[in-house]
Amino acid sequence: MKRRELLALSLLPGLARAARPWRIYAITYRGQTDVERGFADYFKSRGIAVDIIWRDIALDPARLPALVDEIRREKPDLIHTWGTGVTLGLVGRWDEQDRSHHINNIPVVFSLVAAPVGAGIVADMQSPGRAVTGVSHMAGLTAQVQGMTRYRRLRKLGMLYSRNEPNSVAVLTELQALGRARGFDVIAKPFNLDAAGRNVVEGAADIVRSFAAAGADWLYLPPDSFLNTQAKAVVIPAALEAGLPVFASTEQLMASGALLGLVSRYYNIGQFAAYKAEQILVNRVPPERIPIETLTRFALQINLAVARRLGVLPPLEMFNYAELIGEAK
Amino acid sequence: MHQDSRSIRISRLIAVAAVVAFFGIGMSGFLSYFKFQSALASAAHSRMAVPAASVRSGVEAVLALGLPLANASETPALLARERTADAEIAQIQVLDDRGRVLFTTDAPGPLADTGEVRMPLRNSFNLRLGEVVVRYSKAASAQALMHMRSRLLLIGATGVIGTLLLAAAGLTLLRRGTAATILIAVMLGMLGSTWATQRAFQEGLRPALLAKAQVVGASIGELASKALDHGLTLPELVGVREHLEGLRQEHRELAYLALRDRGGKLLFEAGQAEEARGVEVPVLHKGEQVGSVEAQVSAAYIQNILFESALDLGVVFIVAMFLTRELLHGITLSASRMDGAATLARLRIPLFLFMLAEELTRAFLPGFARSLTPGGSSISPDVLVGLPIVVFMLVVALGQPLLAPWSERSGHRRTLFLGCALSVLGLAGSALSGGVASFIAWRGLCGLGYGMVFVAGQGLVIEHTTPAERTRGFAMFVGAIMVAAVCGPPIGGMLADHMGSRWAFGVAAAMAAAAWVAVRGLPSPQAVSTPVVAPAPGDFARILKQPRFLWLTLLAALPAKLLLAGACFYLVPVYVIASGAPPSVAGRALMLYAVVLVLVMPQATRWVERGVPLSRLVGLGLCLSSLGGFALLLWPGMLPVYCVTALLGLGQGLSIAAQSSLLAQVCAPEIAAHGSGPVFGAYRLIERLGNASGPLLAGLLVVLMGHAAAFAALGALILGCGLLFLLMAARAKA
Repeated sequence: MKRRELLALSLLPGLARAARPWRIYAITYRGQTDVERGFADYFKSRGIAVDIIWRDIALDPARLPALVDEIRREKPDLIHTWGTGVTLGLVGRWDEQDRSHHINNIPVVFSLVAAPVGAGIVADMQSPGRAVTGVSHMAGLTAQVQGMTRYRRLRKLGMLYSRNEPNSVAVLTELQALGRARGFDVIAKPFNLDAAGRNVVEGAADIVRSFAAAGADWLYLPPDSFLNTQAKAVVIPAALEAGLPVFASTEQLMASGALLGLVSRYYNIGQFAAYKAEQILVNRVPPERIPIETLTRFALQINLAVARRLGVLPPLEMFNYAELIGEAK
Repeated sequence: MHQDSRSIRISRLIAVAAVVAFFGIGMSGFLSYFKFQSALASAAHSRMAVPAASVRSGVEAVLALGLPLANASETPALLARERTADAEIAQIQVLDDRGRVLFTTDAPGPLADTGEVRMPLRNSFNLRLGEVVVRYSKAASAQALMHMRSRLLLIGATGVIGTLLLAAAGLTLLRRGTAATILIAVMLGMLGSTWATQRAFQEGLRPALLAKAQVVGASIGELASKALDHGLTLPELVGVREHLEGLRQEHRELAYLALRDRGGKLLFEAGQAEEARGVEVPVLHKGEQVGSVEAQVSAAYIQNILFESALDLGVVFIVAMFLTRELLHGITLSASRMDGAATLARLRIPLFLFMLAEELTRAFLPGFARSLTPGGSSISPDVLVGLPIVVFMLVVALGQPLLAPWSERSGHRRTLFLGCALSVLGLAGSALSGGVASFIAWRGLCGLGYGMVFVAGQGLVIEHTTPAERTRGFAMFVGAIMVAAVCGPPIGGMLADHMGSRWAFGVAAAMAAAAWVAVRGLPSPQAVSTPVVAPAPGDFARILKQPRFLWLTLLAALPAKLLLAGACFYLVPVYVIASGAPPSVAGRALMLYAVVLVLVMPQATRWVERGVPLSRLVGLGLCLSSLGGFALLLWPGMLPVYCVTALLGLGQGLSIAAQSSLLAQVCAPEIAAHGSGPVFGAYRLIERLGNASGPLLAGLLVVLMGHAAAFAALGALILGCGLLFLLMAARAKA
């Protein structure tokens, strides 16, 4: 008698759950982007009823604590975060002792974190070990190097970066290892620093010219915050002048006038994040066991106008699958 | 009187030529037709894969832009464009992951008799979103097939008539009916028809390959046009050679690809230009022709297909030769004589047919068993696959001592009838088996039938020969089995290849039924027969205590049969299937074993008669036969398999003749005291147990160490036995 009652009681929440839609709390960094569109569209296309609560911090991390309080009150089924800053602000580092200001008991799926391990969000991409998983938008360096090699020979690679950005240093180390394995040299030089130890753009054009003089086949632009601010105005024009092809590791850098880039579509990233959310909510897979992944297919973008200016046209086979920007008249 | 019998003989010889020509040329035509059909089908399929891949990459590119599959607005235009590129495309559709049609070209009517190519559509994190389906008309292929069929019929009819004319001419000119004339006539007839078939094949296949070249050329043109759309010019294209080379690797039918400009000047090329002009496809840009793509079909590709076809035809050729010999033996009977020699001669045909039925199954039996094994069974599938052979051999082994006296009592002719009937049932049941368990049961029944036919045949030989004639009688017996072993496996392999294992079992059942009919030609039993007493358990105990007997059976006879059943009957077909090769390859390898055996045995018999030490022959033969097992460690692929069977045939050919004589020599006192029955009975029993354990042991070895290592391990084991045998023989002499 008692056991049957307990059984019926335990089934009730499940039944109730099946009736109402899933509640997802989504925090954005700069408003609605293609990531959010892809995220919402995925649930629609799969016929999964979701109730998404959108909250935007409008580039200001100081607004996060208030959202943490709201989450504690609302108790959503899942949280979606945009970018490294928002994610870290919400869940804290994995090795942090005191997590009282962070969310610990609700699954979190993030989008657009370039280096989840480097940022300290998780210890391991394959098994996050905590209820935080998501999608990284960085095409693996191997794929990026492959893109360059397919376009044009790669024997010497130049790289300009900020020495005080751990992500860039990590990328450099990985690139050097790849170079040893695949037989290309990496010539890397950091931005100059001022007296206070901050990055400055002075001398950057000379650095770029020195790469060209050293016989570099490509200039590689890593996902680097300071570089991002100087790419369009200084770095890329200098490379063009010196006849050096530029490879962009992010969509923003590509848009600044690089020749070739391997980018993740924000829309696809949103879809993939929603897919992982589906695994957690509908298929009841524990988030600790869902690996953090990148897309399997990236968009290879070629700027034809730049190609024409440099006199380095893309090989015929790339016209099959690359995204062509501009005309090569 | 002499004139009459001679003209009877000539008519019979011509009848033999007719039967063999019919079989040989008919079978060749049959095989060539099937090969042509599959070559056409694969050419059409691979050709249609090109537009399918085009649509797929077009749709996936749109998906990557972030548009959901159902909304992609450019898809209908893409589908329409691809459809017009090839006249034989009937319809292109894009389906979602539930199979619902999202986009479709207009189907101009009901779609009858179309082939289809399906390619999955995946999004940027590899989730399957749907499918592209290209449906294409098979009308052109069907027409080509019909054309080929009538050509093959013409070639066949010409070949048979030509053979008969040649035979008749040869016989009348030579004034004596010789078997050789028949053989040569059949040989020439078959060679002629083979040559004509290959020519027809080549002519029939070329158009299909040219159509493929056309499609690939068009795809190159489209890609170039795309580049031109973005402002590039044809001469300044980059990486064209690499792209052309890549296409050549992907489509091996193409020998040469070239891109030319508007004036015909060569811009880029890949591969070797050949004599015959290929196809030329214009490159269009904004409605104007700006260049052309040339695509040539590779002669080597067609040669390859022809070569495989020639191998099959060569096998049929060899089988036809052996069949001719058998039939020629068969017609040298005269109706009236009913003495012992005539009876034996009449035994040969049903025996040969029956053995042929069983040998037919060797090449594809393990593969068939494999297809029946359930997914999650507790016994490893490698071991399970050997069980039908094991059960068959066990039933034969254990049944023989019991069946021999029973056959004596009921009469050998009746036993033959029953054995054939049981085998027909067993083979038919095998053809219809639903699962491994029932298959094993049917094979057990086959074993019972086989055992009956074997003891009845042996009994008949003993009954109708004096002890002096007995060796020759047994030689006929063994000869019929050997010829069946030459002809059976390759035919069975080819039948299984083209019609499937079940139909091949059906053909075997029909052959056993033919054997049943042929048994009727045997005379009804006479009253007198020397009773053969089955070996009693007491006999066994006594014989097994004799060290020389044990030495011969355990170190030579048993290992030899272990190797034969384990390597030949189990490992070879299993390995061939596991490597993805068709069963006809296993059939050819098994045929090689039998051919080598048949060729070596007469020479070995001569050595025995000349006084070469028997134990040396036996030991050497055993060691030689095991060496093939190591071949798989040295080379990959199918060539080492032929090594295995060839060396097995060589070694066994050397030792078989000597073994029985050695047994008689070694157990002379025993035979003198108790007769040869018990000793030979015990010997055969142990041999058959070796037959039964071979597949089991081989199966376990495969589970433990994989196929190649299993071959080597088995070879090493047998080599060890052989060396030990020789060592002990040398020490006994010293």
